[in-house]
Amino acid sequence: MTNDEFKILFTGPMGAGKTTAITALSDQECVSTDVVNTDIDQCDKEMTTAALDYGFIDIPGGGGVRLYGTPGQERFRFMWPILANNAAGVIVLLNGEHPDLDSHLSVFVDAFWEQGAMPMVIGVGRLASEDFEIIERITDALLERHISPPIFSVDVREKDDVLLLVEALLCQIEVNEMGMMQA
Amino acid sequence: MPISWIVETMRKQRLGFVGLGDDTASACLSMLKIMDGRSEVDWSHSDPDSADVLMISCDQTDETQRWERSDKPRIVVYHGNQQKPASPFILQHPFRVMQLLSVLDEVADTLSSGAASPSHSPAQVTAPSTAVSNNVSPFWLSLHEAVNGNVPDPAGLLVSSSSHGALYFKPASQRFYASKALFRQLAAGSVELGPLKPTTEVVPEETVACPLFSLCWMVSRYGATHLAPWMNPEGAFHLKRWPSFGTLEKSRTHLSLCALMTKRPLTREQLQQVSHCSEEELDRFINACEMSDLMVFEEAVQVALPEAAAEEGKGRFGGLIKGLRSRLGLSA
Repeated sequence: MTNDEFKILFTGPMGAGKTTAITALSDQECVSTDVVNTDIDQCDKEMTTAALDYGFIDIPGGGGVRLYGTPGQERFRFMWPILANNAAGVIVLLNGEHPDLDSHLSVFVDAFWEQGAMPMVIGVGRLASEDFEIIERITDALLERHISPPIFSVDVREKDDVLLLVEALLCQIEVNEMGMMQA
Repeated sequence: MPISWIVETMRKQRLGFVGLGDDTASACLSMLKIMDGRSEVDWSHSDPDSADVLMISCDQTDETQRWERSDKPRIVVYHGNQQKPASPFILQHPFRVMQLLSVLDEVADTLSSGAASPSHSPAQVTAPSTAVSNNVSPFWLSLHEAVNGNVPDPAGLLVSSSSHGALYFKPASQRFYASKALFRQLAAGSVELGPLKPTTEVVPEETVACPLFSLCWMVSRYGATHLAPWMNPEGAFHLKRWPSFGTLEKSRTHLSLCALMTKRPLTREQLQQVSHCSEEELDRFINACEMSDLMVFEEAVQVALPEAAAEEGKGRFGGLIKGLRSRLGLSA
């Protein structure tokens, strides 16, 4: 990665919408490393990411933003730190109606939070528009562990929702750039 | 939202502080501003010599002992760990707006009946006054009292009436309930809410729920158009966590404020400098966060901004972020 580029990481369990989100943003067709999904119990879809998803946003005047998506299955977890290396921030996507939501939250936040050093945004999908109970439950669960990233109810099929996640991440990256460490 | 100005003649009375600490006096002055128009009397602050009523500490000092000999009505302020004073008018510190309002009204009633026999004639000036002459709406004030537990039954239900139906509030669960139509009207800022009052009604089935922060945000634009008077504008503001963005307007300004204020305590001046947010919008945001118990207010912590904060776009990613926003159409 050169000096005029930076990396945003998308992570979360299988079926949370990482590939969809990257596709919504990328200038070029998203590069995927799909394999046949052998874990239908976790997510009912034919193919899933084994190594990474990759997209790129060209920035006029030079440079760009690399978008990486991690594999969602924990058996490919060895890829997560590799992809997280040098990332400017991470967007965690969760499936709000999945029965293992709480466990997914712990696994992915624990893997990438890095004591708050890595700017993080959480997007929770598949929630009814007035279902704020789950967002509050996630918020409370993280607060108990002194973790407080922004959490949004999103539909990653809507580009505006993906842009909201990116904007929230950029705001945090900017604050870190300002040297606004906890006094 | 239009403010209905109610002009009426109102008695004026002056309140003097004796032996109260600066924080108590300051809080009391803020409360007097909030109360403006809600009391039977128009209360103003004056020195003890020219005051009609004294608010006096129960601590025995030379100053308080001297004023104890005055026959002006006295409201004695005591702390919870002190013996309750034997005085007709008392306030336990810390007290809330409604408690102050209540005792001042009692004193006013006593004065008007002549029972207190003040040493000199209190100012009986009749002048035009306003029912709402500060920037805090009756609803916002009553909500502040409710979220601080200053309601007869915290487990009970409160109701606020409006021209578009009732809004219910359960302080225990911090949930509002109303029709979808009323929430739409509130979001559009086209409806005025009355103060919350206890009710024995039950929440109607056809209502939908709304969390505290969302409602606070909706009504803050006319609930308190400037920083609420119970907050010190010179202090530093720190968010415990990001607010729920369920129904919040998702603007860059608000996201930026959240990112800044969750990182460290910042003054309003610093927040405006870094976020480029207007004063009015910043105050509205702080008010909504404070009402939702997301705010940590720090009186003394005022740390200078890092130099990098003043240099927009100069960080490692500064130029890239600007370019990315432009590329994605995120530029505000």
